[in-house]
Amino acid sequence: MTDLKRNLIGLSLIVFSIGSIYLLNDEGPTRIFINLMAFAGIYAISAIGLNIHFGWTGLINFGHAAFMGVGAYTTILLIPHAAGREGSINEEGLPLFLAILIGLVASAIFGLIIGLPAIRLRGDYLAIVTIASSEIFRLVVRDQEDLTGGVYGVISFSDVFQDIRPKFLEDLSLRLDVSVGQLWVATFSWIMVILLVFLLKRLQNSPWGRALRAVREDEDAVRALGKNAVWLKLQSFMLGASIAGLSGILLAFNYGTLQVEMFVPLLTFYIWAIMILGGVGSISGPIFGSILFWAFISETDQLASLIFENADGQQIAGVRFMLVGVLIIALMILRPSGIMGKKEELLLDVK
Amino acid sequence: MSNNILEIKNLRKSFGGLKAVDITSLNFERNKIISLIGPNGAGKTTFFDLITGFTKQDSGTTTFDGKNISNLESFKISRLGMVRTFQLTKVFDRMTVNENILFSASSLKNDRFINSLFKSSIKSKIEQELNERKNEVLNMVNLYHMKDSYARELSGGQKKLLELARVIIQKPKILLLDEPLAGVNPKLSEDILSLINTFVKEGISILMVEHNISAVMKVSDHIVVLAEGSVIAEGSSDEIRANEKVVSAYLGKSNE
Amino acid sequence: MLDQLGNGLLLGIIISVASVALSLLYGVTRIVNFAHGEIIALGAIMASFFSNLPTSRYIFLENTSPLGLSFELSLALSIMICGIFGALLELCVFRPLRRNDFGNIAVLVITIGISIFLRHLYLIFASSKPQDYPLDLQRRQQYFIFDLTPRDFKIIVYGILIMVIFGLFISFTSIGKQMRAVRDSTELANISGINSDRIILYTWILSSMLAGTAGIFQGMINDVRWNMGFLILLLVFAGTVLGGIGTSFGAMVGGFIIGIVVQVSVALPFMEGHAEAKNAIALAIMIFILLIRPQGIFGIKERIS
Repeated sequence: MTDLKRNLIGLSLIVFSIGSIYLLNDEGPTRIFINLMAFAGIYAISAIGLNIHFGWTGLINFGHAAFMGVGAYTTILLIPHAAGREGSINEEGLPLFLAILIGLVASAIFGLIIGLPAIRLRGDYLAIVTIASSEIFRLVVRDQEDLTGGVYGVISFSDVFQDIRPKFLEDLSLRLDVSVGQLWVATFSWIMVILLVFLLKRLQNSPWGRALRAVREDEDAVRALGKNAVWLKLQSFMLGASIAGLSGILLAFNYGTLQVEMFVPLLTFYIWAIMILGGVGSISGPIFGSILFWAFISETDQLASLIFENADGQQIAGVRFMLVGVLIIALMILRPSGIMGKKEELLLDVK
Repeated sequence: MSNNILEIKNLRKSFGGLKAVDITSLNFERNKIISLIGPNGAGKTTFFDLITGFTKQDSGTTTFDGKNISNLESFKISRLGMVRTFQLTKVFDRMTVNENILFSASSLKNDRFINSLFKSSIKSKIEQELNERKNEVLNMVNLYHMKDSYARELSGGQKKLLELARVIIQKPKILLLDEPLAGVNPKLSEDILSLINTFVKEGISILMVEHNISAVMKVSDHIVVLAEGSVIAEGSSDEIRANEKVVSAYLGKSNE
Repeated sequence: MLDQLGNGLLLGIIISVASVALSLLYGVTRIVNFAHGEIIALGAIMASFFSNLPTSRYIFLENTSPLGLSFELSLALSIMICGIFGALLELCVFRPLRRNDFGNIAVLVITIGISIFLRHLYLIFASSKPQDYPLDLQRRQQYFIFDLTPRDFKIIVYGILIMVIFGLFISFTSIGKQMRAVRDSTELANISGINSDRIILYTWILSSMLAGTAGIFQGMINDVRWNMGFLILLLVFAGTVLGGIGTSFGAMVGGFIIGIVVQVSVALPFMEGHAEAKNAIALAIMIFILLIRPQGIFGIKERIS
């Protein structure tokens, strides 16, 4: 299958699924669409990071949620916010972009801290260590209420982000009848996605990207040829973690609140589902995967109401997540190369 | 500089009390084809792993080209010019033949993240030069026509050739070949042996482990026989043929 | 402190049984089973469905009333159902995957899919509210140095009994020996005439039955919840890894240690006011063990890097 054909299939799937959102929702389909695109953009960023880990370097990272969380908490706590039960507003803060930058660096450092010892471990062990690390992160954040707001979370931090919103979005949001805040998050996220795609296109075919793929294929051979496989893996871990950090920051701005329960292992598994759906190792894969994933999620809600009369929130969530499980199983069995992945470079059939 | 490319003293390694390698002294002359033979389980591959840093040695000193490389990390040893291949071919399956070789040829500086981000792409000048060298090497091993194929699509013999191409582009001082003829048809064996001869002419020392005794006898300048982790004999092909210890080590094994 | 030691003993037994199950499955099939937690939950949920009285306020399964069977019968039935479920998983999912040469990582991802699917299936049918077993409230008593209720004590006795039976089974019965043979080397076992497919099927059944038992124990101490399995899954991993992944005895001891560590750590001075973070300690221990002694306390050294 050629790249063109893959792109066409991906595009038509997206057109179809977005179209069905407009067909299925009589009220405010555009609002649903913008909501979907905001989440899709943010998750696509995260999946791009995971793809560097797994798709390029072959690192089985099941702690991606924590990388997102580290970025989010670092940045949000550095800008004006209100944390914890008391919720008193902390007016002091760093400029937004400096805080974001520090957040990204913090994620990378967290990646380094986890990676430094763990990266020598074999695949399934690395999976266990990373998921355990991410749970430790979550439990510690929950526990350190004074700093992180604990279970009460962090609120009132969105203003600095909304302050830099371009003015024309306000008119646009009125015309489309959507929330201007979310429209800005969605726009910003997709600008980031596009920038990242350019960055990755450059890196993938660079000597560095080639070296990462060699590490994925055979670490011993890489070492025998005089290349430092461990350092390459760590670099990959840091870069992917930092991209995940960006995604976490945007996720917080999208919700307008930062809750530790946002970073449960399930989040990591969603990102995995998106990466596999899009195609492991492909650059545009996470984008297609993310939009389709969120369209799928949005449409399963309708399905839930078909199955249950007067489905309540719980049943809707249950059906939605259950189908995500089915999606993962079905993809792995029927099309492990996803929409955009090349069969020749299929990673998931590794012994 | 000494005439020995590699000098080994008191190299020892045991696994869980079982002695795997125990070599008191062994020297390898520069610019020769030296073969390491011995029955299965004699410790040949372990010996390779030890001197290339893939396994930590218990004790001993390995001097390569005048430098002590004992317990140096494997990739550093490789950078000094001692490059190895593996018993089971380790090509990068899901990369093209081109990429396999370019990766090997690319310098550390060229591989750097920052460099890749801001300067070097596959279209850069450095990469173009690499590309030319790569094509020469591919022509040498007769794989030019396969250059854009994924390595996993190659036959077993072609993978062996690719592996050779991948190491030779680094112009190592010594090349350690772990069973370069295993599972290769006779015609290709001839090709590989003549390649090895070319390498030596270009000033590369060769140390190989090989089970094909007749090939070993034919091409080797010097043969070292290992049994149960120790050197039991060394010398020219004629000397080895005449050595009773060698005969009994092999026969002893095959009688079991 | 003694309170915590008693609780630790209980959690230790539960994690120990679940770890043995996970470790056995990994040893024989090389599958890192993320759906293990859901089998644990299945045991607990089934037992609550069988044992609660039809007239009780039962929130699981709307429009269906629980069966009101005796508790012992409910246990037996639930454990059997878990065994059957394990067999179905092997026959319908994992055997076909094996036949088609799916790689380890692919299978691992599929177990995650199964886990997510099952967990939310439970959420739909069992709701997110906790459910009890129809057991009497009991007062804590002193057993040796531990403060426990008589029911807690029973769990410990049953748990130890199950482990002993399992140990005897794996050591002395023909199937147990064959399981160990397949664990050590599937190819060798096949050559020596062992039908590895059949042994793997038995392994799934046995592993799932043990997991279900652990789930019921957990339900007896805390509540039955849709996500109870996933909540302790990582502790079970920790127990398995600590003892040495793939070794039954190791998993037994490892699980036990993890349970005690988790509960006793609450009583440590620096943990005061941080009880919620107690699981983090167990996970940190697991990571530490993986780094300094990846084969675990009792595992045999194997290349894992």
